[in-house]
Parts: sequence; C-alpha cells; structure tokens
Amino acid sequence: MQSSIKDSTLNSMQFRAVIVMIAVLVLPAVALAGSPAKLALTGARIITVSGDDIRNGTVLIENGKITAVGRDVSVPYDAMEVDCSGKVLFPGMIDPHSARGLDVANESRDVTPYVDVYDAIDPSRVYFEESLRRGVTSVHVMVSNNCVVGGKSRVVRPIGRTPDDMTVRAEVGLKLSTSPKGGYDRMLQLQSLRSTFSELDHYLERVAERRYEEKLKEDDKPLTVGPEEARKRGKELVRDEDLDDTHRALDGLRKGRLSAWIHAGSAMDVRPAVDIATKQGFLDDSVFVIGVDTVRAIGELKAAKRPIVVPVDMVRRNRDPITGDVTEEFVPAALHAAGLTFALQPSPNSSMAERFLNYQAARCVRHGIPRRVALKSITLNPANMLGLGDQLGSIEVGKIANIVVFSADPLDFNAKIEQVFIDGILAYERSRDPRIQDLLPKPKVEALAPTEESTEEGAKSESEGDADGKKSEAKSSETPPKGDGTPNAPAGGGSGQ
Amino acid sequence: MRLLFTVWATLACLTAAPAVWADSFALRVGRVITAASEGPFEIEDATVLVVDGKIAGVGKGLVIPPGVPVHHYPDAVLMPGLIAADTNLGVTPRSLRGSSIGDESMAAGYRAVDQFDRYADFRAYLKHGVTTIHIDPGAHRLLTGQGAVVSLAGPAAERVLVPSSDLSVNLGVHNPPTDLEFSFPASSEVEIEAPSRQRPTSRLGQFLGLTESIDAASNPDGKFDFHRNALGQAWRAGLPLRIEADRGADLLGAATFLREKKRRGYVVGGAESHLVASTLARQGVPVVYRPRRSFTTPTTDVGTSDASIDTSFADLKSLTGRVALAPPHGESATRLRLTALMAHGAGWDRERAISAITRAPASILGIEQQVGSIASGRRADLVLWTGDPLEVSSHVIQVFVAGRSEYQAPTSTSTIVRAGTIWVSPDQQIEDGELLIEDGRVVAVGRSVPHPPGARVIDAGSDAFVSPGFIDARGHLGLAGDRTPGTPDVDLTLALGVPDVTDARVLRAGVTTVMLTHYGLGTRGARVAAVKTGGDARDDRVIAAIAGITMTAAGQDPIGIQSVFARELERGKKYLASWQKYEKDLAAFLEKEKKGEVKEEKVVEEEVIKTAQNDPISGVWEGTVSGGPLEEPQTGSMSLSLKGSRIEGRVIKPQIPLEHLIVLTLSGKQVTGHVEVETDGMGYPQIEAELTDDDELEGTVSLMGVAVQFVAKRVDKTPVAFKVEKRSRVKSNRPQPPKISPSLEPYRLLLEKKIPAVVDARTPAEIREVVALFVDRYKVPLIILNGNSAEVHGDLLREKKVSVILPRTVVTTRRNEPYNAGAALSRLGLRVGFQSDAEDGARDLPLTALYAVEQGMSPDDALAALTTHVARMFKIDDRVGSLEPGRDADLVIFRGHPFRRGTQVLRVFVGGEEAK
Repeated sequence: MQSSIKDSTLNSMQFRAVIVMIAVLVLPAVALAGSPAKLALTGARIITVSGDDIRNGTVLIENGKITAVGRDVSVPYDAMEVDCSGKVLFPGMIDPHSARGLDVANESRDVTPYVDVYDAIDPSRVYFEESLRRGVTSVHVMVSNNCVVGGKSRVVRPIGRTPDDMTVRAEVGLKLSTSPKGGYDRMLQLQSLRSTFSELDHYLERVAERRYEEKLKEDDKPLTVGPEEARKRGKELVRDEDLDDTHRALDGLRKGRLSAWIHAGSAMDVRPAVDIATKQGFLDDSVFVIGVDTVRAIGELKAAKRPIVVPVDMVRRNRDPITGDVTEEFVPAALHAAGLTFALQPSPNSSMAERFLNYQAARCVRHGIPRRVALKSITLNPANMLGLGDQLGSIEVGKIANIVVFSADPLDFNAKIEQVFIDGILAYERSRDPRIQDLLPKPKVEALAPTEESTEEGAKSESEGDADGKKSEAKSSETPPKGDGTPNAPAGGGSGQ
Repeated sequence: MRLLFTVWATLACLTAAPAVWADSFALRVGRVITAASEGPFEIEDATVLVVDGKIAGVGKGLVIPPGVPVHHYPDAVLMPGLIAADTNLGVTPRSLRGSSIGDESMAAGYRAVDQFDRYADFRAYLKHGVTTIHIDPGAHRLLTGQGAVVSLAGPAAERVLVPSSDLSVNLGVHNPPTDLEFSFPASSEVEIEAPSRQRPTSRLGQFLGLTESIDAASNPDGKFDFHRNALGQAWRAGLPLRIEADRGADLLGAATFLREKKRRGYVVGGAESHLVASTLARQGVPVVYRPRRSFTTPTTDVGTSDASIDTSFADLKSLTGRVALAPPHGESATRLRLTALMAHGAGWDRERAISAITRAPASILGIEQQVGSIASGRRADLVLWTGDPLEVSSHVIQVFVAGRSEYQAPTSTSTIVRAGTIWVSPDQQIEDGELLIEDGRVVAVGRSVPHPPGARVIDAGSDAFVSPGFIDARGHLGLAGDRTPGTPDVDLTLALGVPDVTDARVLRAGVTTVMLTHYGLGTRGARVAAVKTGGDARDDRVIAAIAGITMTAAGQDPIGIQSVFARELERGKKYLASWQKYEKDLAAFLEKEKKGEVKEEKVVEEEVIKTAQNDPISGVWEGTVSGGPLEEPQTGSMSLSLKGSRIEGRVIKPQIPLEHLIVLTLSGKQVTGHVEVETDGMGYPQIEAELTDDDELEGTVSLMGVAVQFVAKRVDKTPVAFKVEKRSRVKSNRPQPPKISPSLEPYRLLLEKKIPAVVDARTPAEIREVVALFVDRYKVPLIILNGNSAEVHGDLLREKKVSVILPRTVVTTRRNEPYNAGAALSRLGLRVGFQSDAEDGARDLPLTALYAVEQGMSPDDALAALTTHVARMFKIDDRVGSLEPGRDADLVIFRGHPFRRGTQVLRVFVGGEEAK
C-alpha cells in the first residue's frame, strides 16, 4: 500500500481512492494487524499522570485493558513483549472539544438539541489521522460555539471505519452558548436561551397533563381535576419516550444524562451562563468553554467551580483605553491560581506548534504552572470532564490501554511520537506512517546526472502532450522532494513528531 | 538635612496626589454641590466624609474621625456623579440602538442588561463625570423590551443597579422592517409559522396594539409565547413605562395612556414637549429631554418637510414640570454636562440645571435613594471638577464610584491662576485676569486665557494679587558660611543641591531667585550666579551660571582705581579678541563652505619614514611590558624615528592588527606622547617615559586609568624604513577654537556686554571712577553695589544707564534725618534692587522693601526693585522678573498688594510647581 502512494501512475479518481483508503483502511488495518491478546511494554519510563513516574517499568495489557503497571511486573510467557527501553510512555491524550470531525461545525438554526454529531462524523477526515499522529487517542466531537443550543456530542477514537466503530461513548453532552451566535446580539441570544427552557417547562406540563389523562383512561377513571392539578399529578408519569428529540435532549441536561458544555466567550457571558445553569439545575454537570477575554471574570469562574476548556490562544491581550498600553495575561495561569481545573485544546491551525497538545502543556509549564497540573490538563482533566475518568486519562490498572510511546519527555520539544496504542492495539507507528515517511529524506539520493536526465525526459513528455501515463512515469522516477505530493501531510513534519 | 527635606517633599507630593484611596476618606474642597433636595444646595469650603463607599457626612467643619485621611483640594468643586437617563452608549462594543434583530412588534422578553458588559472599561465616560446611565433595548419596535440602570465603574457584581427598570415603548416608529418571515423548511421539529403580524404604525394602532398585548399577556390562552409571558410578568411586577416620543401628539397620547392604564412612567425624547409642557406638568408626567442639536458636528438638516422637528435650547425655557436632561440626540453621554450648561444659558437657574443631570434623573429612574445627590447614606459617586461645572472650561479631575477612585485625570502640565490683580511687570498690570502655566512657563496672561483639557485651575479670588517671584540682588544662599573670597574661575553653582530647609525658608517668603555671590569681594572679580530657591534638580535651579562679575572698588584710592581693574580687563579683551577672531574666521569659513569653496577631502597619507643613525631614539627597541592588568610580562619590539623633537614609530612585535602610530615628543630626557589607534572613543593610550641611560627607555603606557610599565632597550640603531599609514584626516582649513580660560570667561561675557559688572563703590569719587572705567572706557553694563551715595551722581548714572543695588540697610540716618536710598534713587529714575547679603536671611528681604515703602518709597517701585528691575539689570529678564509669556512661572500670590497692606504670602510657585 505504501508503494501505491509513491507510485502515482494513477488517474485522479484512483488517486482519490487511495487517499480514502489510506485514511479509512490502512491505518486501522495497521492497527488491527498487531493486536495480540497480551502485550507487555517493557523498560520504559512511565508517566502515569495519576501517580508518580516509574523508571524502567512495564505496562501489561490484556484484552485492551491495562492489567499491571510497575517496575516488578513479570511478563507472562504468552505476552508479546515490546521493548520500550529509552522511551517514555504517556497516557493517550484527549482533545476535549472539537468540531473538526464534523462536516459542518454548526447548524444555521439556533436551537438544535435534536441533532447528534453521530450523523455528521466523517471517519475519513484528515483530522482523525492527524490526531492519531499527534498522540490524541480520544476526541470529544461536539458542535462548535456558533449556536444557542447545539446537538448531542460523543467521544470517539480517531480510528475505525464507521462512527460506530469509533465511538467510545455516545450522547455525552450538549453545547450551549451565552455568547452571541453569528448575527445575534446578546439580548437575542439570552432571550433565545431563556425561551428554550421556558418552552421546555411549558411542553413538559402539557405532556404531563396528557399522560395523566391517558393514565385515567387506562384505569377507566373519570377526570376529576382541572388542568393545573393534572399537570402536577402527571409529572411522575412522563417517560423519556413520551418526549420528542428536542425536549428529551433538553430534559437530559436537567436529569444529568447529558452534560452542559457552556460557551462563555467573554467575561460578561459568565454570569448568564452560571445563572441559567443554576436555574435549570445542571450547573454541577457543566463544563465552561471560555475565550481568552473570559478570564476577566475570574471571580465568577472561581465561585462557579466548574472545569474549563481553555481557548487555543491561551494569552489575553488587554489594551488600556486611555494609555494604549497592552498587557498580556496567560489564561491557564489565572485559572490555576484560582484553583480551577482545566483542559487544553490543540490548535486547529495545522501550521503551528500549538496543534500538539503536549506543546500546549509545555507552554503552561513555561508560564509557571506545575508540571503535574499541565500534564493532567491534556489527559486526566478532559477525561473527568467527559465522565470517563475511570477509563481514560492515565496509565493505571483497569483503564483502557491508550498509550503513547514518546522518544523523550513529552514536554521536550524534540520528543517524537513513535507509537500509539489504542485499546491495547498498535494504532500508529511512526516508522510506518506513509505521510511522515514521505516527508523525511530518503536514505539514497541519486546524484546530479539522473536528475538532469529525468528533467529532460519530463520536458519531452510534456511537449509530447501525452496524458497521464508517461508524464507521471517521468515524475515517479525522480526522487520526490520533501513534502511533494502530500499536500495534506502536516507541514514541517520533519521538525515535529 | 537635604535628604530629610527630599523625603519630606516626596511625602508631601504623595499625599497631594494619592495613588491609593482608603475605604474611608474625607474630601475637603472649595465648594460642594450637594444637589440634595433637603439642606443647602451648595456649600463653600466644605468637607465630604466617605465611609465604606457611602457618604457619611457633608458640611463645613465636619468632624473627621481619627485616622481618616483628608484630601484637600482648595480650588476644586465636588458634585454627585452625573446620571444619563437616556444614552446611545454602546454598552457592548457594538452599538445597541438601531439594532434590528428579531422582528417582533412586541418583544418584552428582551432585556437591555444582557447587553451590558459589566467588565468593560468606561473611563471615557467617567472622564466627563457620567457615572450612572440608563440603557434601553433599542428603539426599533413598538415595545422593545426591558431597560436597565447601570453604573459605569466598580466591581462587575455591583455594576447593575436595576436589572429591569422599565418597559420600553417607542411611539412614532414609522419605518418598521418587513414582516415577512421565511420559515425554515418544515420538519418534525419545525412547524410552519404564519408571518408575524404587521406592526401598527398609526397613533391609533400603536395604543391599540399596546392595549391588546397587555390584555393578552394578562389572560394567557395556553399557547407558549415567550415575549407575551415576559410582558405579563413585567406588567404584573408594576414596571414603569418608558415612552419614547417626540411629537406633541404622541406625548399627549403617552400621558393619556399612562393615566388610563394607571401606570407609572415617563416620556423620553420630548422634542416638542415645550408645546405640551403644561399638560405634561399637570398630569405629572416627567420628561427625559433629549435635545436634537449637535455639539460635535453640524450634521442634521431640518429642511422644509412638515415631518421634521426643529428644536433649540431656548425651548427649554418653557419646560415647567419634572425634567431630566439627556445628552443630545445621537450624541455620546459625555456631552451630558453641556446640555445642563445650555439649559442654564437658556434661563434655568443653577439649581435646576444641575439637578436635571443628577437628582432629577435619579428620581425618574427610581434610584434617588442610592445616587444623584451628596447626602448621608447615598452611595459615594462623586465628581471633582477643576471649577464650576456650569462653566464651559471646567474639567473633571477625579471620579469616585461607590467611594473608589475610578478615574483620575492625567496630571496635566497646565495650570491656570485666576486673580483680582496680576502684576505682570511695572509696565503692565491686569485686573481680574488669568495666567496660563504650561511646562513651568507662563504661556499666556490676560483677562482670559485658553483652558486646555485637564488644566488645574487655581482661583485665587478677586482680592488676590499675583506678582513675579522676588529676586535677591545679592545673596549667599547655600554657601553655608563659607567665607572664601571669590575668584573669577570658581563656578558657584557647584554649591547647589536639591533645595534644602534654608532654601525652602527663603522660597516661602516669596524670594524665588537669588543672585548668588561669595561673601568676600576682591579686585580680580568673582562670578555672580543666578539661581532659584526651588526646583527638583540642580539644572532646574540654575538660571545663569555666570550672570555677572563682581568686584570691589570700596576703600581704593580713587586715583588708582582704573589701573587696578584695567589689567584683568585688558587680559579679558585679548581673550575676547582671540574668540572674536575665531568666530570671524569660522563665519568666513562657514560662508565659504556654504558656497562650496571649501574642499574637504579625506586624505590618507602614507609616508616612508627612515630612522636616522645618530640620535638617541631612532632604531629598533626591544623591551618588556608589565604590571597593570597583565598577569605576566610581555616582550615586544618597536621601531622609532626622531625628527627634530618629534618621534614617530610603530610596534613591530607582537603584530598589532590595527592601524596605529606612536607619536611622541622628546624634551630633554623626557619622552611623552600617545599611540594613535582606534579605541572606540576611549581616547589614545598615553605614553610617559624617560631615557634612563643611553639606549634605555623606561616608562608607562596608560589608557582609561589603567597603566602598564615598560622597559626597553635599543637593539639596533640602523635606520629601518617602514611605511606609516597615517590616520585619515579631513584636510581643511577649519579654524580651531582658542583654549577656554575659566578665569577669563566672565570677562569675555562682560566685554561682550552679556553680563554686567557689579562693582562695590560707595563714595562719590569711587562711583565716578568706576563709571569712567567700565562705562566710558570699556562700554560694558555696570551695576553700582551698595551705592549709598549714588544720588550725588544721579544724573550721570541715569544718563549712562547704570543700575544700583541698594545697601542691605536701605534706610540710614544722614545728618540726623532718615535717609531712604531706595526712595531717593527710584525718584531719580534709576533702576534699583534690594540685596540681602545673607543666606536664608533673604527671607526678610520683603520686609526690607516694606520698610522702605513705609519710609517713602512707592509700593510699585519697591515691587519692581524686587523683581523686574533686578532681572533687567542682570539681563536675565528673559527668564524671571516678570510674568510675561515665555517667562518662568515663578510667582507669588498675596491677599492684596504686598506693600500696601503688608499682606502675607499665600502661595509660591517656582517653575509652575507650588512650594509646600
């Protein structure tokens, strides 16, 4: 398969097919190929995140779960041993909040709790492949912030042929936003949010009333009370299936089935967010997705004690209106000082170092946040926010074996991600990553002569005006220059992992 | 002592402009405008006590609890924070008014407070005194939603005063957006909705629509409608109606509607309210009046259409009922004060105009118990102005919201002094004038001067008298008893430091400048320096390091006087001539250069030097260098050649990569010189050596205080030829200046007539001889010092324009009669000055002058003798001595003419800074 990439004697249809195949088939196939029942990763430094680091330790994986971690773990005879000496094992990182797995980030309607990202996840999106390459083993796919109430989210693995294959947990949360959606102002945004829940109350009362009347009919009893009383009495009779999708999802927030991911993009949006979540009773199940400016409301964030998804930029720049002086504030540092837990996000911009979660964590350490906190903010914290703290986010016995093998400390800028295990299977191997291998210089590079020849040939074939065949042949005989032919591969891949 | 004073001065400055304000403090100001409904409306020289963000007391002579800091602004006016009952303030970065989101006609569910950024920085509004505003949800629907009242500063949690203050109704919205609602494609989730109903546009329809909506909200039909529910809640909660209307008919309709619905409310806009003022007043409908005129740009054309509304500030005259003023239509809330000012101009009394932007809006918005006046229990929202807020030129100094200092005007360099009399100079006095000070200088003086924004205004009062700072014509302040006789080369300003206690003592007496001399006088002359008694740094204190040259002719034989001084004067003349020649040559050169006749070329000379044989120097020298920073002695060799007494050479070993040339001079056995080499501005290494024996040289090389020793032996006397690339020189004939001689510098200035000679001459004979020498022979400016008998030669002195410094005791006894030299000489038309001949004794100089006045001198002559005359005789009148524009802002404020009533000094300023 690898050769088929380099061998580009294909027409465009075929080429596109290859791309899809790589994305959909190759990577999972690679992964599934090496999936022994028992696996032992030995001799590595293990950053457990939950506890202390272990030097020269072993992680034993059975059926996709971690069964032992430590220095003195004996490797069973039937386990496949992978020598990781000199390497660093790190829990699979978690992208806490991303719409990039979707075909479109948001609906154009403002209140859409009835939609589910399930219908829009595109497993072939390069985003998943990139996530895997960067050591992200779980992605929380959620609609973006440009909404009033968005659809239901889910946590997926970046591998698998279908959304079902990929799913770790479905119906995780709903996105709400107190910052205005595009074209809205805050009055309309908040009116719309309040109206949504006020309408839910109204709807539930009607359903309760209907259910009470149905119950009486079933029991052959006469209706003896007025509508107000019926609504009260019928409240207990309302079943989930009685509700339509919209109201079931909204009710799910109140019942705790879904967590609320509330976007408060600016300081003034925190108060309404807290007010609505408190009034509707889901403050304890909510996560705040903030913007850099939101940190001005640090007092209100501190009082709300909710976990926070940090904006990609992480630095707030404040310009004094009188003097024009600009001051900078590092957002996670302010959150940490306020005693709040937070999760970092990778940058969606593929040309920046910020696309690596471990780089984002390193920035935090650079700004004085303790290493342990910074590492948690890309592993255990997002796992807890997603309600998956018992399964993801650390290297501990009983957890899902999502492990990243780094060549050096994850916060070292030169560290490379060599292997990624998801559910105990080798999901990614750097040495077999076709895109990276294409970017890296080949061991044998021909001298000047053949290149000149091939150029001539290329010129000739071009002048002949022949179609695909010869032209491509001529090109294929050249040593592909760095980055050529793989426009989607991460730029500057040579310098990163 | 100086240090102590510096610390004290620094502390004094800190308390004057406090960076941190305590929770409790007292403000004592020139005037408090309480704007309260009870008690006095204004109090002169009153104090406001603020405890924990609230006003705890206001009045004259208030008892301040111990430990509470009192901040005193004697020139400032304090008033309550202004309240804008109507704003178009963009409460979020995007403007609110005109927002057309949502196309419902009745949308009571929208809340303006949702748009308010409680974290925003509103200092741009505080700067104009506005601390509280009403925000509305827009004016584009018949019923736009709920308004709110907010503070523009303070912690986010405390900024919203009333989250839902009213229901906002807009009459005369004649241009509604289209009402076609395109449904989202229908699905199980989205039902097809009918387009919303057309908004009523006629007057009839508007009130009908409102009535219908209110009725529907009170009797729900079971269908979910958020806005209707919100209207129902708001109506039941008794929210007042805020009715936006400009037309007289709409205003009357609004009044009727309120009465019929038995609902509290008020109208906003009210362009034609003067037409229906009596009805509105009778029915008790308050008006938030918004002028439809622009302060910033003449933008709106009224035209000839019937639909247009034309209003003027003069209409305000006929408004009688409860009226609050709002900023003009479409203008920022920062113009709120100007509308009150215009109302005052239109005939409103002070109290009404000020109330209309403070207490009246507070009462209309229902927050009267919290803000809008200065009274016990109200929130401490206070605005400190430079002067009366109803005066156009006044500006905000500081703003407090809930007792916190939220805005402080940038420290302006501009100060305006207002006084009953400004004594600019003997030739000009201004009654009821103003003086503008910027950057320590007088910028303008006159009946009224420009008021730059943020300028501090010192209104000294109509009986105040401002005079230039006094000048001591001869003093010794700062010499600390040093009685060393002066010489012409000693720079007296070296004795100066930052002002100390003695300086402050003199300064507080009003003496801002001292002509500083040594105690002892000789015949060679000594410098006179013009220095100030106040200022932050030494440089600020020096007006002129050489302002005169002083010497004594007292006690000399009059016959010999001319020869005594002539010698130095002749030397000075030669010295001056050398400078004049240089200047002339230079001018000629520059003229040539301008014409392009001077060719400046960089010449790199290369010459071959051969060493000769029979001299003590030429040849190759080998030796060792040691000491200094060198850890071990270094060996090396150099080649030297002698030409006359000039030695040139270079180092052979070790090879120096730089172009260099050793240039030495041989004199006897001494060899001195330097190495010409590029050292980045550190100068050339200096060589000092001695021929200790035949062919032996010993000496030092030094650079920047680092020295190394060397010993060298001549090893070869054969001539060695080598090339020396000389440093590139600009070959030009540019003249070189003569060497500066410190002791002749004063003479040069004297002979150039830039400074006067101050000669102690007491007897008529001495005076005559001195005048003959200095004025007749050398034609230089002359001041007779201690000229007690100058009266004898009065005509001569006047003719020759000679000034006189009076003896320190001005009034003496002559022939058993008091003799007042000051009066006598002034009367003769001579320019006289007073001297202290003391250090901090100069503080009694004004008393000396006062006594001279008592003994017959004219008060203005005495004042001139302390100011302008002295400055002019020393030719420093471009800096001090008068208050003309361009002079230093050294001034003294008295209560009345100092030499008429014996009034005391009130305040003293040096370089625009007030002396503490």
